[in-house]
Amino acid sequence: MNKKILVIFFVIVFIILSYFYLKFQADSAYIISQVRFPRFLLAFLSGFILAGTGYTYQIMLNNPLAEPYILGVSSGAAFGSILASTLSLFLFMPLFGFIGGLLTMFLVWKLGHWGRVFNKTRLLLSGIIIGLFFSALISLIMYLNQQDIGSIINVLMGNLGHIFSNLEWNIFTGIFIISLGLMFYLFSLSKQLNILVTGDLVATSLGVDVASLRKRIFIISSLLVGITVAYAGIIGFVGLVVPHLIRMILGGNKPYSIFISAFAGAFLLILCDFVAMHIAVIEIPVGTITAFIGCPFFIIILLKK
Amino acid sequence: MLKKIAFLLIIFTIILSCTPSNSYPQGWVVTSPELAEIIVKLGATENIVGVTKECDFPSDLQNKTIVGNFGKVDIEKVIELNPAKVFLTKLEQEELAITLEKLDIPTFSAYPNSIETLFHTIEEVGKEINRTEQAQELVKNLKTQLSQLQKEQHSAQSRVYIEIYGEPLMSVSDDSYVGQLLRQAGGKNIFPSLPREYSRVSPEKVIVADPQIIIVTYPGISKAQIAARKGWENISAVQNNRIYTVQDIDPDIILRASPRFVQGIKKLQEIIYE
Repeated sequence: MNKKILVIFFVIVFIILSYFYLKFQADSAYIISQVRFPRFLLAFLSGFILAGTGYTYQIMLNNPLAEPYILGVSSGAAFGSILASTLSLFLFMPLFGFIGGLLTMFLVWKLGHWGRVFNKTRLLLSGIIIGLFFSALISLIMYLNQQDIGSIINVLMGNLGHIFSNLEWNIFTGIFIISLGLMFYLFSLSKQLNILVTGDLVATSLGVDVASLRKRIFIISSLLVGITVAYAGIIGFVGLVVPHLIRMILGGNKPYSIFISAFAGAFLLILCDFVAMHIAVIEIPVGTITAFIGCPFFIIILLKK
Repeated sequence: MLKKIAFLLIIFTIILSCTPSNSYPQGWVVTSPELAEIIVKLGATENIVGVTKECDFPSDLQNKTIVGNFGKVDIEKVIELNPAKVFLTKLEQEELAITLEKLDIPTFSAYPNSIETLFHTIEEVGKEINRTEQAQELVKNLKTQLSQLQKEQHSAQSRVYIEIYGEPLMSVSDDSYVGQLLRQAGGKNIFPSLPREYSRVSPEKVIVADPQIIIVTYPGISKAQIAARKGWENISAVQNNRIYTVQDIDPDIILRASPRFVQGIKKLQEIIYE
């Protein structure tokens, strides 16, 4: 009973927030449908993916510090986007970003499975090292192309105000639906995933094909993270903080935790983007807002527990 | 003992050879494209010994020694040229100015942010390079041309949106140098006041302001790409195909505070009254 009320309360708050997000200071219905709604969808999708994949990574890697960006995909995707922007190919930024994320994913996976033996620590370390490598490349590009600092900061600190062309919008709606589909597939794996927490040996004895499960999760999560970074840049804290919050509130890993985590992530990101758009005379990068709101909130919860 | 003496002698010779060369500093290094144009206009091109990559007008300036680009000047190359003075952009090259001062290389910095301060800068540069008369002549000349252009202004004003960057969208306020040129040309800026002279703007505001003319001052984007932006199809400028990119207008004549600003205003008038 108590949980039901909580869910209903959450849904109502979500609807109110969405209403304000779409309506606040928008001059006409045209603006809402053409500018605010695309942004709303992008914010929703990014938050949904980040908090959902963050949750799966934390379980898969059995590491409380894991987050969607830890396996380097984000740095690779950001590098792709930034490369496109310095080549003045602004319209190809999402495509380059996605390709960059994809290449990084293969690289990290191959390194993590060197010698055909999977090693959690090695996967983690390869992800971090490849991520650092791409970060260094990004720094180099930044140093050499100071005139493009605006778009580089957008990628590195997150920006949900991507301007879609009409064609690009049609592609994005397709991507949106596919991403949701992939997310629901991840949700469906969560039962097996929760068994994985007990260790590979126990999970195998319980009939889980650990290697294949891990591979599927890794590839799907990486694809999804690549998509968000390609469109919205790197938005920190959502993927790390939200899964922990949900785990603290619900107490441990429940089969539906990933689902709730993803929705909470979407909620948090929409809230943060709303603040980012309106708090100052010019828009503030959304990544700073997620940190400002996420950190104190997280500390409060942590201390209360 | 002998070894020690030999060692000291070697050190001594090295230190002696490190003293600065006695040759007299000559010529100027110009790192600011604006100041380079002014110096050339005042007829002192031959005294320029080094420039940055951005000093590309007139184009033969690039035949001089290149000392790096605007944001990254190679200080060793500057020292090697042994210039009598370095001409820099104020604020943006402040750090470089401080470094040069430490090295006892005289500098001159200016950042004209309006037509009025541009006139002042021209006169100051004139004084600096001993061409005071030419500078006064040039300013007088430019002022006449400016008032001539102002007479050609029509009373009807078009709403203009100037986009100086696309990711994120950035535009100019009336207080900015570009905004002033636009006003002189008889255009009405859709963003008269912004938090900064050059500032980020929201695409919603552009759609609501419904500009009749869109001018894009950075490369890499075409008219069709602007027209295809979601929600922009009903903007008057898009409907009437009045989008102007770097193919229609050389952005340097409106972005750079140089004597070419008259050409900039003229070109803007052509666009606005087309």
